[in-house]
Amino acid sequence: MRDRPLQEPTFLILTALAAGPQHGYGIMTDVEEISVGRMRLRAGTLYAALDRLETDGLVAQDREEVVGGRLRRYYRLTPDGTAVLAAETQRMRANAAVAAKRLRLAEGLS
Amino acid sequence: MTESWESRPEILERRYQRLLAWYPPRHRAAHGDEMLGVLLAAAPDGQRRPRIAEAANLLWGALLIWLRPRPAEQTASGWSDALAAFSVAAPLALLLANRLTIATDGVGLADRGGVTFVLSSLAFSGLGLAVPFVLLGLRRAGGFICCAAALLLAFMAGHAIYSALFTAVAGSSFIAIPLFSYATEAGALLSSPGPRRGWRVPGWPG
Repeated sequence: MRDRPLQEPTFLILTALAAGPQHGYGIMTDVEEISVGRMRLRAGTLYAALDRLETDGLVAQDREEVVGGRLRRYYRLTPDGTAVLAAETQRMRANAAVAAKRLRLAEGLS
Repeated sequence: MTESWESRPEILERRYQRLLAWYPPRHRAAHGDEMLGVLLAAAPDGQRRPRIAEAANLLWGALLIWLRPRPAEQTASGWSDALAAFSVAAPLALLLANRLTIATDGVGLADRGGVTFVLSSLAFSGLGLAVPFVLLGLRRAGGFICCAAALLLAFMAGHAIYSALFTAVAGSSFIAIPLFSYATEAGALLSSPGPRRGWRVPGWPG
């Protein structure tokens, strides 16, 4: 049902969760690593996004643990979240293929 | 003065807690401790107060969550789910009602012409506008469109009564059915989690 492309922070959060459940701080550091330091999520952005993704059924709470007296909650992708991430990845791959093809054409002309 | 007996982490924690107090109580109860842990983990050693950009980001996040409609999943309300499913199903019913009323009354009214027919045409064009909003999952926009159409039809009914056309126009299904449909659709959209949830209600195809 989703026709609009995912925003980059959303895409990176879903990507961070694709390999397995992660807690909030883990998602933040993973997003920074995935984006090679280009995207640094702040807590306000992360939790607003997680709230929306949970509402949309793309992400769910996985488990909780207490570390150093603090609650640590893990999040995971739902099947809908996996499907949306796969569709977005396919869309980006198709766009990138077209862009690469056009660039090769441009190089051939010059 | 306070710092003489409070450690730096405690000061920072207290300041973060003040910022987290701007979040909705429901969200704070569910995620407050967890968010505090994330904020403290991300803070460099020796930091005593939240950075301005970080504080602004937390306040912006709080605003977004305040403005977001509550999901049926968290309220676990069967009524919310039912209304969400209705908000998806109703546009189809509206279309059917529209076609039926035009088939039964519309030709006669079209022949009559005048202000009432123009207004009723506008009201039905509102149906055409509402359907894409509903299918795209734009709950509030669809709800407001349906509200506007319902108000327009109510105005038409009032106009018809005033001009002694009640039996010919307002009393007919031409106004009554669409008015009821728009009003119930608007109610379903604005009081439920909306079409996005409606598509995921168990048993609903899609």
